[in-house]
Amino acid sequence: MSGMQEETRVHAAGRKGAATGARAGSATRPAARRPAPGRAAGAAGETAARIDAREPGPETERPIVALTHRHLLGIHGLTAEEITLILDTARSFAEVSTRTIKKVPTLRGKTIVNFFMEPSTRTRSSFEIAEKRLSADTLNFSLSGSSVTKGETLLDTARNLEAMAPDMIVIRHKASGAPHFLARHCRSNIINAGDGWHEHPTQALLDAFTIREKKGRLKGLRVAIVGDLMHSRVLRSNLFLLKTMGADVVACAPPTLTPVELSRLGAQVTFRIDEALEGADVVMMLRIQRERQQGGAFPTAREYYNLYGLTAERARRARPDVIILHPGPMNRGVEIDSAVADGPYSVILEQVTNGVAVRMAVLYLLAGGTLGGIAG
Amino acid sequence: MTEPKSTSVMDAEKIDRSLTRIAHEILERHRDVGKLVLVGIRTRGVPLSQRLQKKIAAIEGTDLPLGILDINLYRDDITSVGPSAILKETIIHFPIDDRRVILADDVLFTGRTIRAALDGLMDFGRPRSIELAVLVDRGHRELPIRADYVGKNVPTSLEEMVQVLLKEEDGRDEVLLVKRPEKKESRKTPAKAPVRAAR
Repeated sequence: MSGMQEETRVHAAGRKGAATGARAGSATRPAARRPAPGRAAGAAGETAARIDAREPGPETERPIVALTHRHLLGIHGLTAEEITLILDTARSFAEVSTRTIKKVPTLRGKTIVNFFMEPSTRTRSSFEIAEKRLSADTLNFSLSGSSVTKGETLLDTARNLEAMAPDMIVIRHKASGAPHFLARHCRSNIINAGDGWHEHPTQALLDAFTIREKKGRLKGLRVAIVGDLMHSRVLRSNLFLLKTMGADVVACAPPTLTPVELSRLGAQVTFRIDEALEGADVVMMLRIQRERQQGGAFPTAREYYNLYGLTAERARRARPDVIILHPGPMNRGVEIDSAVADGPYSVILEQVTNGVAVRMAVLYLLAGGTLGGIAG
Repeated sequence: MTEPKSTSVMDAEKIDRSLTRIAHEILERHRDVGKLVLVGIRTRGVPLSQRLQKKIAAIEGTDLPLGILDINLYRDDITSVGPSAILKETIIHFPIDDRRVILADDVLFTGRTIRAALDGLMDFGRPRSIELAVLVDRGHRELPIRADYVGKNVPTSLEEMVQVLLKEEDGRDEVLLVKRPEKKESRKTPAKAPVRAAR
C-alpha cells in the first residue's frame, strides 16, 4: 500500500486544500476550475494549472486557443476546455502524418530530452516521432547505460540534464511525483510520460481522442475500465479525464487489485466483469502488470483470464457498437483474448496512430509562448 | 471586439467588384486554366478563395481545385507569442507539383503570414509558380513579399488595424479601418501574463 499513500501525498501537495475537497465530487469540478487571475503561483509548483482565455470578448466568450501551462504533469488540473483544445489541436496534427513530407518546422531549434527511467517502447517512440515531425532535436536518455544505474540521485540527474539547457523534458519514472519534482527544479517544460502508479496524461488524451473520433463525443458515454486498477496510472489519468468530460466510468478488477479510494474519484466500482460490460459504449482493458505484482493478487494468469479476461462472448454484453481499447503492451490470453484484440471492435492500433498526433499537440501547445521563455 | 473608432473602407459591393476584377485578372494572366489551383489561408483567405473559385467557374466554366492552408505550424513567432488561433487542418487533397498556385488571404501586412504559407506549400510539392491575391494591402512590409492581385490598397499607420469581415465568418461583408489609440502592436495577440512556477 505504500505506493498508494505516496500517490495521495503527491496529490495533496499539488493542490490547495479547497481543490482537494472538490476533487471527489467530480460534478462540481469543471465549472469551479475556471482560473481566477493571480492564483497561478500557488498551484504552479505541482501542476502549474492555469489557463488564460486570451482576452475573452465582452459579450461572447471565445474558445481558448492556448495553454499557458508550463508543464503537463497530469490530467488532474486540466479543465474541460483545455482537454478539448488539446484534442482539437491533435485532430489537425493527424493530417501532418498523412503528408508525403511528414514534418513541419514548428519546434525547429528546440531541444527535447526523452528521459525514460522505465522500460517503454510505445510511449518513447511515439514521443520521439512526434518530436521529429515537429522538427525538434531529440536526445534519448534511458535507464540502461545512464548514471542512474550508478547511483546518481534524481536531483543530480535533473541538474545535469538542466545544465545542457533542454527546452522540454519528457519523463517516465517509476516513482509517482518524479515529474513534479523535476518541474520544481528545472526550467524546462516537463511532460509526464508516466510516473509510478500516478498518472500517464498523454495516454488518457490519446484514449479520449480515439473515443471521440469513433463516437463523436465523450459526454454521457459509459466507459468500462477493466484490469489492474491498483497499479494503473492509465486508469487514474483516464478517470480524471473522462469524469471531467462528463462520461460515466465503471471500474472493474478483483478486490485485491482495487484501490479503496477509487469510488471517491467518481468511478462506479464492481468486481464482476459482466456487470461492468453491460451496456458499455467503450471498454478499456488494462494490462496485468506482472512487473508490479509482488504479492499474489490472483492465483494464476489462467484464473484471472477465466474471471476477468475479455472474451468475444463477454463483449456481447456491451453495446453493439462498442469499441475496445488497450494501452498496450497486451498480455494475450490474460486480460484480453486474441479474438477480441484483433477483432472488428478493437481500436488498439488506432490508439497508437493517434498517440503521435496527440503528443504533437501537447508539445506544440506547451511550446506556445513559454518554451525557454520564463525562468521557474 | 469593441470598435473604438472605425471607418469603413470597403462595403459589400466594393468587395464583390474587387473579387470579380481579380478573377478576371487571374484568367487574363493564365491562359491555361487547367494548371491553376487555389489555396486559401485560414481563416479569411478560405471564403475569399471560395468566392474566387465561384467567379472563375462563372466566367470560364471550370471549377479550380481548392485547398485550405493553416499556417500556424510555420509561424516564426510561435514560441514567443504562442498560438493565436486553434490549429485547424490543412486540406490540400490534390498534387500541387507543376501547378500554378493562387494563394489567397484577406490582408497583406508584414508579409510574415505569406512567408509561412510559402513554406507550408513547399511541403506539399513543387509548384510551377505561386501568386498572391489579397483583398487589402495595408503596407508595412517586413519581408520582400508583394501581392500579384490586390483588391484595394489601404494606406495605414501602425496604430491602425484593418478588420476584414466576411459573410461566411462574420455575418456581413465589410472592411474596416480601426484606430487603436493605446496599443501600438497591431494584429498581435496580447502577451500572456507570465506563469511562474512556485519556488
